[in-house]
Amino acid sequence: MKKTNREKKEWQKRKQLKIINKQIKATNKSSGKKVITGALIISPYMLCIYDDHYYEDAINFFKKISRKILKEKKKITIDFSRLESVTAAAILCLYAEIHRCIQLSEIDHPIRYIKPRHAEPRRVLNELKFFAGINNPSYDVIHEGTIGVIPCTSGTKADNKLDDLMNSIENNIYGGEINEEGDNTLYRSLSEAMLNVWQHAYKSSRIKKDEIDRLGKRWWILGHRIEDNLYLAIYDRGIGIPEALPFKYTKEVIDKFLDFLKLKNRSDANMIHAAMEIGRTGTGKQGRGKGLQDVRRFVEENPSGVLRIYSNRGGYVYRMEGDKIEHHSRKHSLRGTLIQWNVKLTNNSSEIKNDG
Amino acid sequence: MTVKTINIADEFSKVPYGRYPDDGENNGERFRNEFLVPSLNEFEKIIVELDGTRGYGSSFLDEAFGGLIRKNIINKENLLSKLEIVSKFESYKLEIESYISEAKPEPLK
Repeated sequence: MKKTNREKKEWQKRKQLKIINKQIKATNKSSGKKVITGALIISPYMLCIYDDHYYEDAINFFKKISRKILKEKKKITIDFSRLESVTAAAILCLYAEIHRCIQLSEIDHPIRYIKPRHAEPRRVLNELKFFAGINNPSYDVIHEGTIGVIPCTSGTKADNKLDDLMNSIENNIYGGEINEEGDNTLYRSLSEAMLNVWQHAYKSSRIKKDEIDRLGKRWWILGHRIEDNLYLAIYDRGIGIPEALPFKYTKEVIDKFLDFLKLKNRSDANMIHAAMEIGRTGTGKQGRGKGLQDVRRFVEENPSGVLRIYSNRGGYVYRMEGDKIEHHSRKHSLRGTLIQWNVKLTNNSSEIKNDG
Repeated sequence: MTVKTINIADEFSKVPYGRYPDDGENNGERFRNEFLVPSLNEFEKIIVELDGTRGYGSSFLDEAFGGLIRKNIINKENLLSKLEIVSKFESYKLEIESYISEAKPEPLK
């Protein structure tokens, strides 16, 4: 099969990288310098989970990190030097993976980093307090961000964090000028996303008890403003929406919604889509909220709003413009759920410069 | 007519959140049991002012208001006649009414 230009480019980069790695190893060996601690894990040059192609590279990268630290019990050095481009969602997943590995590892300080050589990813990672956050033992602290940034942070129960987070979003993203209606819908979406993590994400014996004991029913969050767009993402390492749905609803209810949506199988993407609709139309089941529907509310009030939900092997992208839904099916699981809201900020707040 | 006004932001929390006590301190069940139920028992009319908080998720609203019907505290007709929701956002009033209308009393144990 003929290679596409992108595949050719990537193949060339991989080849170059192998040569560079050999050179690094040879230099270290000859000079006796201990630059690299433990196993060397090299980041992809593009850290992104939106695009199907880059997604697999990112997942393999995350898996290598946890395998080395948690299974092989080795120290590692993560080499970000070739990193050229990053996206908020992928940074959040990586942050969570590293945080989890550090917390669960039996080794002290299992990870060292080589920072990106390229200015843009270095700036973004620094702004999001990626390295500072990971190196800080109190992960639950909401780091003070600069204008346009909600730094990587994590927590378990939402109620003691929500107000601080909302203040942080209001000040850093909206310059203190979020309107009350926007504030209400953001709160609704964010708080119900956190509640879903608390109530449903870790509800299975598949998640080891020891992991929940040590990490709690944890979510990770970050926000980034790029020009007039807000990207706000929350991630958990739970069982994922496709696996959680049968805990909430019977097979008959789920099948009814899949049929109604003309979705032919129980692929992860279809299950996420069904979960969104079950929330929207109700099921007659008592005491069930409209949690995922609430999650969508924040983008529904924005003409160019986009909601992305990636859970296990599925992806669901909802675009307000044209009321469009996209599905993504992936080979490897994200091992959890990522929800990202992307909204265009209003005129008031767009006057703030993203110069922090 | 005896009237009780409850301002959620001032008297309960600015960050109402969750359905059950396990979800967090400022949950819908606690608001229902500590504020709505005593007021419904004591007063002929209750006015609930929603504005001033960060907002509300559906879980909180459903448990607080729909829960009154599910838990057999009061019947729908009485509740809708005694309850007045005050908010600058009309959507909250409609939403709460829908939770009350959709709720079904749970069988008594």
